[in-house]
Amino acid sequence: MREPEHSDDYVWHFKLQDADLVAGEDDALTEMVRQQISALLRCLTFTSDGRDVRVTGFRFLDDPSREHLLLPSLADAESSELE
Amino acid sequence: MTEFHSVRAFAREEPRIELIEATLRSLLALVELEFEGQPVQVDGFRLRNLEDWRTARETSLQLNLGSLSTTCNCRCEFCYEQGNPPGLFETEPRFVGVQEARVRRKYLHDGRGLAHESKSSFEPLTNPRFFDLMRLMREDDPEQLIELITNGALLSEELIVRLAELKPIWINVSLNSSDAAVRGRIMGDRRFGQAVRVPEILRSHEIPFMGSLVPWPEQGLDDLVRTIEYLDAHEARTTRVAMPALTRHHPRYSPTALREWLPAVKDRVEEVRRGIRTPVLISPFTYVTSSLDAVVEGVIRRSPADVAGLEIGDRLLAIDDRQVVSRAHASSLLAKAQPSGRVALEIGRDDAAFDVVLQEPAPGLDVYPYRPRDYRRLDFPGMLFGLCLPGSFHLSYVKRIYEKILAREAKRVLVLVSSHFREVVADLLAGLPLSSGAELELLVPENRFFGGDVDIGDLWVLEDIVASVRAHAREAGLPDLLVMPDSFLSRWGRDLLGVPYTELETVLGLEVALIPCERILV
Repeated sequence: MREPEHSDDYVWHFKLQDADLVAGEDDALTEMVRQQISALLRCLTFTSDGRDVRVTGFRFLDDPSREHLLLPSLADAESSELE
Repeated sequence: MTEFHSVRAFAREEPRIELIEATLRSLLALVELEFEGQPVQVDGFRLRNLEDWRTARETSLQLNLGSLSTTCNCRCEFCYEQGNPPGLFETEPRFVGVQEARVRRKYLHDGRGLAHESKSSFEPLTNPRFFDLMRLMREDDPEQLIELITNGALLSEELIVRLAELKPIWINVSLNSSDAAVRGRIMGDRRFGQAVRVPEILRSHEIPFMGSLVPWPEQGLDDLVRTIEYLDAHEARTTRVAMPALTRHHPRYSPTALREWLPAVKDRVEEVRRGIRTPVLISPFTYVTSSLDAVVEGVIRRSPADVAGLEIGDRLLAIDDRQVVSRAHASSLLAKAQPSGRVALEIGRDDAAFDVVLQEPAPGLDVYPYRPRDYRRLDFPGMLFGLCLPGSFHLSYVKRIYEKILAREAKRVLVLVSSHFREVVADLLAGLPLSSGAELELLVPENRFFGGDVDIGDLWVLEDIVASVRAHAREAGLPDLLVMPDSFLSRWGRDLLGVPYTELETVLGLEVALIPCERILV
């Protein structure tokens, strides 16, 4: 593991939010994977043979019959509370 | 005391910090970290090797530092920041510190700097280390133009003298009124007398400046005109009349107040600006006209355009022997000519046409306020050679829209457009040769997030677009391609709330094509 190279530098600190996983129908391990894929999709687009792939969920390789949906963070202004 | 930065504040410009936070959080819900066999309680993280975080594409320390202060010493009745929706920015006041600035300077090289935050922009002079930061910017680059936006309340003559030592410097003074009492009333400026003297002192120290006004009903039209004339008398390089727009969250918002006041403002400004020398530009300029014609809207004093006798209302017909097709085209041709310092123009005035050559002043010549001595450059988009050409819609955007439609083989296309350009875009798109059976519609999304008078596309958020497209689809059905400008998104495709545009495709179930567009700055 690399050590910080400039220990006298100004340090950018960030707080972690509470680490509780909100388990719905899925177990905590599935929720962990869902959160990580969702976070990735906020930064990148997966591709296949050069074409963008819109990902809306995932399946574990040991249980291909079950799809786990990803939940986008985008709110709909119509349903959000207006003053 | 440890200073924590907000993950959310970085989400728009460097979302991989958000990715790290989400990943760590998801892992810590399932495992505990250890050190030498013992569990370690973790509640945060820090950036490790800062070389890895040089991800901002910037060349100037000023841009890399961003807003020096997120607090203000005035309480302007029209301040748009007072109307920010809850949660848009961090509310804790934050000043950029000298240590942070030094480290940012250290890692700023080869066109890259440390990632930076989105934060509100208030009065930089409230930063207790303001002058140290300015000096650091000057040390970083002896020739870089430093731009300062201030309400002037803390800009004493002593400070102006010190700032003059840091030339080249350019100051945008939000004067709003040249009457100290009016300024005290509408801006809550307790040192109102000081700011009113700022234009005169800047002139005497040969620091070029722009005067800014936000016309406000309590100010009155006569005071507005007097202020424009006052700035002209002190040789402001330009004056910007920024039309106010209050969000629905603003404490002074009422649905009709500004709607009734602003047309009268426009008429008075149009009247007064023709009788003075300082160019006066209403912002956004679409408030004056949506025309794309290359008409000169002002000429900067002692500029090449002024020396050549050009006037407000002149039409640019050709630039270096190329026919001009629009204002944006004229700006682009002037930018190409600018490095040579010379440009040949064909001008239309009334029913006549004539040729002129504009020549930049020789280095070392003092032509205040166009380009004072010791200033290598003072060129802003839309103001080259001293010709004021407000930003406008580029015809090339239509070509980009057309290319996206053809590439996706779309049959039902919905194009999002700002209300300011709706008519222009409708006319231009009507002429596109679409394939048989293809349909194209325009939609102006309603800005619900900010609401109130806010109607510029650069302040859309994606949830506004979801709501507007769904409402449109209830009548007309969903399109198979949604085309929208990218000017309200960061280079990571994120809106002001940090949401990536790719979520639109998932939520609406359609393809989205982004059209690269410039923000309208002048």
